[in-house]
Amino acid sequence: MDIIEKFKKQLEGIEIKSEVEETGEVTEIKDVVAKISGLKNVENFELIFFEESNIYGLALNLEEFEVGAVILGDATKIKEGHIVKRTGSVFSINVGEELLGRVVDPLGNPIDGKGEINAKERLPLERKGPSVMDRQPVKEPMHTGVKIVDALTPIGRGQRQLIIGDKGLGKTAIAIDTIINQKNEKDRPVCIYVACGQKKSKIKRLVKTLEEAGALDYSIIVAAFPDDPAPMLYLAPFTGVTMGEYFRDKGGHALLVYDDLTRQAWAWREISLILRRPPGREAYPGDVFYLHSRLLERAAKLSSEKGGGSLTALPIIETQAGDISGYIPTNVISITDGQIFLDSSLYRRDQKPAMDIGASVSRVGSSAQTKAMKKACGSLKLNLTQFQELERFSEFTEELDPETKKILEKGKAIIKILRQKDLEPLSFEKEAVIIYAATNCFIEDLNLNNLETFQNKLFEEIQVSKPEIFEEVRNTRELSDETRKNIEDVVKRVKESYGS
Amino acid sequence: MKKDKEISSWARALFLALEANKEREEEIIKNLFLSLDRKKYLIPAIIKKYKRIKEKEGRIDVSVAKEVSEELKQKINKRIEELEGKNKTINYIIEEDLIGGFRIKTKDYLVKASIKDTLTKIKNNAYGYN
Repeated sequence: MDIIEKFKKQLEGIEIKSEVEETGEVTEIKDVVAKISGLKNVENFELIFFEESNIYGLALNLEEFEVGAVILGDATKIKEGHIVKRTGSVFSINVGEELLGRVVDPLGNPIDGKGEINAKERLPLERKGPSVMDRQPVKEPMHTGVKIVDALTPIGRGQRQLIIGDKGLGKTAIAIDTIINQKNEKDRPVCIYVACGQKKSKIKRLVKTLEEAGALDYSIIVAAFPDDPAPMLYLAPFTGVTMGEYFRDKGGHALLVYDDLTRQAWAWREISLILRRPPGREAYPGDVFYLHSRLLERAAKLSSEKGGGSLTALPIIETQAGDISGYIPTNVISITDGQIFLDSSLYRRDQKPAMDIGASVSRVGSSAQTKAMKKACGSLKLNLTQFQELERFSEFTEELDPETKKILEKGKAIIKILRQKDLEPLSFEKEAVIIYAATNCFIEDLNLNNLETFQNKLFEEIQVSKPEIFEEVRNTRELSDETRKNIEDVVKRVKESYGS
Repeated sequence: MKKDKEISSWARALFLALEANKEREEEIIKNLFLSLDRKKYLIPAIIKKYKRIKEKEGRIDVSVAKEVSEELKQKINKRIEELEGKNKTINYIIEEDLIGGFRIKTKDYLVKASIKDTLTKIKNNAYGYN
């Protein structure tokens, strides 16, 4: 009886009448692109459905008699003559908190085997970034936990900071450190890692790393692998940014890592060439700049009226042989608010992270730093630029005056202190203390070999004798005169323990 | 590749011209020969392509569950002509799966008015798909 009642209820409101569906027919398949005749009223970027093979597609080219569509799935299942239906909706994905801790493909389907995701809200993939009036200047810091980055090229919430360099120099490592470092941050941002054309083994390792660090709970991983069809790689960053926008518009914070955009540009080039769009420089289509600019424009710090949320973007670009004058690198450099340039010669000299201080900039600058950091880094840049100038010069001369020698020694010591291993991000109060110690406490008196252990010894000493230093810096985000004096005292004691 | 595109555009043009002025067929073909000039060797390919376009565009499939009477066919044909214009070849296909009613498939539309479609709709609704 119950079942019948239930069924009756379900049948309520069903209108039985003839239906008209707008359809087309597949006439041609070229790798990932299908040419379809018919589909008269289809819109650009509309989702279409291949009925026989149960695969979705995306209409991209509307021509006079044909429609060019990319296939979001296995193209081998689609045959000539298959019927294609309009769905009448633009491409959108499910977003929500339920995605946290999950690994999904660019269509939002889980691929980590943890079951279905019941996210309710749907957002379209292609949206415009917030307008000028809806934004405010970037001012809150987004601590990466990497000393050299936070000191020299500070990143703010809502900023777009490019990480650029050759392969294997630790581009991803900086991004991962940043994600892990958000764990204990105030107003913790949701971290979204978009893997675009990354190896499956790498993603497996990444998930494990994040899990071990306890960072997976607030992270989402969107993964498109090298053996996925090109449209997946093309869509992955858009999926990621749409998920991030959900948190941004709610007044929360989100951090997006695009790893890497070169692959997305390649995928778009592949699709465009098969769609027979005119190729331009390096065979990229004319709109490859727009591809990245519309993606990165969606990163923003929203005004207080809009909730004050933020979306920070850390795009990654891979260069060939350190050449940042290539087409895609220059495009993305000009879109972003600064870049972290990783140099292979520094990497070979064991300087990790191998950030090139001269070529890396942050156009937002110190407005995204806490007062404590600003004070600690005050003389750091000056010291380093002086050092770099003299270092080159000192390679040719033997005799140096004592003044120059001092600058060189100090520079060497600071560079040594700025070294940091992977997966060991430092909390911001520790960063402030160690950088203050490096610039203001004459650590160049120490032997260069001793400097390697100096950082740990200093932190230990502070924990033991003056734990209130960290406490105070963390709470006030300021280096008061008293704290500074305290730090100097502790540094003195540590230096004495080394016998200098 | 370039030649392919040329052939399809010529075929498309021929199709459109013939569709609009059926009675001036001879004139149109003559004109085609003149405009092709030195590329006359393309003609067989163009004609072949033209036939394919005609077959695709001008064909309307009416699927029914059972054989229908001539009288009903006349009625259906008349209605289709009103909607889609003349010069269409109307094919009748018998699909017993449909149980009752009919389906009409043109190049751009699919009209579903069969009992099978209705049942599918009810099934989907009960399962909670859109």
